[in-house]
Amino acid sequence: MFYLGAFSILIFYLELKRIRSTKNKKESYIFAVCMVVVAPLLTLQIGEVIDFRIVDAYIWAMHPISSPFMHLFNQ
Amino acid sequence: MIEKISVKQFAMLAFVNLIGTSIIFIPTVAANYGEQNAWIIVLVTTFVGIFVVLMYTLLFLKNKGTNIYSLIEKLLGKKLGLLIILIFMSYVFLNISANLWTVTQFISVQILVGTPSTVVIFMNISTAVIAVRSGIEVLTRTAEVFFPFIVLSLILLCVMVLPEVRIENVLPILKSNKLNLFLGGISILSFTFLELVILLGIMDDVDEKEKLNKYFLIGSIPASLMITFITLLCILVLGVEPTSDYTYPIYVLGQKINIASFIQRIEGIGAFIWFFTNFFKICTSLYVLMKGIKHITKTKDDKIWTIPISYLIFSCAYNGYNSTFYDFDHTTYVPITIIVGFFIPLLLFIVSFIKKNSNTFNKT
Amino acid sequence: MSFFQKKSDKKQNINLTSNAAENKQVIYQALGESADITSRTISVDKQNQISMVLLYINGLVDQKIIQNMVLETLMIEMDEQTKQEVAQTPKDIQSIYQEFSLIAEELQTIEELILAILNGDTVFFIDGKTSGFSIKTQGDQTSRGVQQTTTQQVVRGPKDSFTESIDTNVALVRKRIKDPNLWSKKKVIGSKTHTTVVYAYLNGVVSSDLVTEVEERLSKIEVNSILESGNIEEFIQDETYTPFPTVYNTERPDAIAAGILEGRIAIFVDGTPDVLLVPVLFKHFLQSPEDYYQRSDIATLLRWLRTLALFLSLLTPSIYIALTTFHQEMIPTTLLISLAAQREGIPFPAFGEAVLMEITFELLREAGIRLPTTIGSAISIVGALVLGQATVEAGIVSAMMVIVVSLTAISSFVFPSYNFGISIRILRFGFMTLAATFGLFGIFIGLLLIVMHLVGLRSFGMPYLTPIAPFNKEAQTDTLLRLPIWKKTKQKKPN
Repeated sequence: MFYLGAFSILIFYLELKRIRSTKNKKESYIFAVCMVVVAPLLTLQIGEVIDFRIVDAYIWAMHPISSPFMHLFNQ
Repeated sequence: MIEKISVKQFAMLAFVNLIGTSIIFIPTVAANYGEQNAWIIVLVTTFVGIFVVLMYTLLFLKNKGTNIYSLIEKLLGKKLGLLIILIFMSYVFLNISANLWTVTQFISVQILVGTPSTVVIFMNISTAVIAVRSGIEVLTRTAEVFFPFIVLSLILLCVMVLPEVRIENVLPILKSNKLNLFLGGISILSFTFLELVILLGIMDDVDEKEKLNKYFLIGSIPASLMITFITLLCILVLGVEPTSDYTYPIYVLGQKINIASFIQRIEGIGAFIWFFTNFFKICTSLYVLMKGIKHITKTKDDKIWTIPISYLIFSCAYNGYNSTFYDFDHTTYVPITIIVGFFIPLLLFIVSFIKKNSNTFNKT
Repeated sequence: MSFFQKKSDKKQNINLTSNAAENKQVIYQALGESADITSRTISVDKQNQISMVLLYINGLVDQKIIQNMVLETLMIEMDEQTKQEVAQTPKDIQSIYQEFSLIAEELQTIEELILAILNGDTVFFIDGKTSGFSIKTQGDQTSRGVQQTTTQQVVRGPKDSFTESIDTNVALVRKRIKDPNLWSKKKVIGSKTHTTVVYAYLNGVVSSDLVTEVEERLSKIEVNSILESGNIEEFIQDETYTPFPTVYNTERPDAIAAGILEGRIAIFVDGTPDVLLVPVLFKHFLQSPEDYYQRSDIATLLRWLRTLALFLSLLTPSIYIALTTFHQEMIPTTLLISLAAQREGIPFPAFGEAVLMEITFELLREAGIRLPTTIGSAISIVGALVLGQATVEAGIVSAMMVIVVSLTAISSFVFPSYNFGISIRILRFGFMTLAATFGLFGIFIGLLLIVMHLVGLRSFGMPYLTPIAPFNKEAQTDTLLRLPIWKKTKQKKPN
């Protein structure tokens, strides 16, 4: 968890530096926002502080379609 | 610089994409449904697969070779198009993370016992990100370098395991439950050919598009036959019960190799094949996903998305499937693959057909 | 430090006068009255009124040329002239030289004159003329003759190698390719060293883009000193941060000639026997010029052997580490038992053992290179006996490890090109670390990363792994295979 946190900060810095060098301000903001959301999410997840699962949401969203299938396959 | 890949390279990617992951799961899945006739199901899906591949290439070529994303937008309009694109992308995302999860699981269970899976995922996804960031050209050329080794290992594996074959394992041929064969066929099709829908995303990078039809088939059919053969071998060597019980039958197949008591237990070959094909599959899908994000957000620099998205994929592959994978496989993954891999292209195909007809009608 | 001095503008303000002695003084001062500058003052008319000053640097010129060309020409002409009793004028002396000497040039500025002197030319001033003249008198006393190559030896094939003199080097290539289309272009690079750099190519075979690319990259070099072709290489290579060389260097004229015939460009640098060849592909480092002189089946086998050596020297220690640390189940049982018996009582893990032995080996190798050959054999005794035998007997390192390291060492000497071997040496340590942490998985990841790096590399616009990826069917006749020469039907394009 700590290694990943440190790595995230490092990669964040390096990548931001690269994007800034392309003189593209808007995109560096987009990147920064994305990273600020995503990196702590993963770090905390791996540290087992939070339990965050995208796939579960996906499975839930697919439920109406998948239930007939489940029925079919469970025969 | 516009990067281009040749049709031959595309065929290689198709081969690698089809082999990746499926080579390790298809024997199990097929044996579950078809028992001793598992290989027949895979063989039949190969024939069905020809039509799937032809549908993809026709869809692409009929629309003058535009990018899949702009194609969807053009045919279905802005709003509906966006929805379809999002579904498509979510599928690609799911595909990447599921593949990553399976390969990680395999490595941490079979190869690196004791190493935390986090590290393995991390190594895998960072290598994939590096590959995708270097562009499609580098990606395909890397695949080109490893391609002969992958094919060689496959052949080697098949040839070396031949002495262990027990013919009685496949008998009696053709005696089994027809509904099961059908269901198995569907799920195998969605694990193999329907996943190739992702390749629609890189078709516009190909150099000589008119030859795509032929080369897509050249790439995918041998791959599917290879899977058939491996399934057959699994059943011939291991038997039906073990094949459907083992999670990684091809790895066990490698362990069975014993030539003159010296060349034995070279399951590393199986690991090699699977790791590399799976890796290229992840990379291709990631590239297609990046292309989609670039299309939606219209950012100039598509690299900015690679890192955040890879974090999300990491997160999914970390524990997203841990408890639910086998449920997920049949209940969520198969339907979404059928929707994205079959119904969406079919819809696009029909819409483009109607539009074309109305266009010609208007002109005359 | 002279590197940080600004160019002094003082010299430029002083103009040449019509007085030869004064001009001489100016040059003397500009060169810091260095001890090796020699001047001779000759009077050219009977009245001792018009004098001529010769200036040259002692070690750089050929005294014979000065004697024959400069002085004798003058004497002979003067005798004839005196016979005809024609009054001597400065103009005439100039024309005499331009008629009778092959290489006389009129130079207007002091900078040009100084450069000419530093190049080993003889410069002379005549009273009454405000310009100087230079005559090519460069002597080759400083350079050795054409000798046998020391770094890239072959069993069959020419034994000569390049020397430190650029003219000799270009001539050695020209002797092999007697074609009017062999064109060479000259450049002077280095604001302090003024090193002559010549690039040569076969017009019509080479692609014109490549020529402009080389021209452009050479022109962009702005540096004080060029002492060796390695300096040039650093400026013109495509990628700095890569372990793989993207410029080929050799001291074999036949290799350069072969490269030029294939449509590549050779870059000669004055003062070094190492000539550069661009573009270069990965496969060229696994080929030796000898391949084309041996029978094709032998050459093909040798190439396979080198490819095998590439994998051995890159992967042997890491695979050994991976197998013993993580994947014991993949080792055949009998071998595993003997391995386990050997490793009993050894205090280090396999990785530590391997790193220890590899470093020792690298040290031995480095020491062996620097030492004279007579002491070099002592090093090998120390290496083989003391380190090999004794460490095993003392139980510090297992015998298997010594075998692994020596196998690696032997394979790493197989490559015909030294700088390619270095890149493999660097990467080997990376692979060992990966293998120690992630086993076979780490090796797979490492291979992927390296191949990804390689396919992304370019050498002068040419993808580095060319005949393999992107795949080129025609070029396969000369990649891993070396088919008979007549199989290559047409002149090959550079790939």
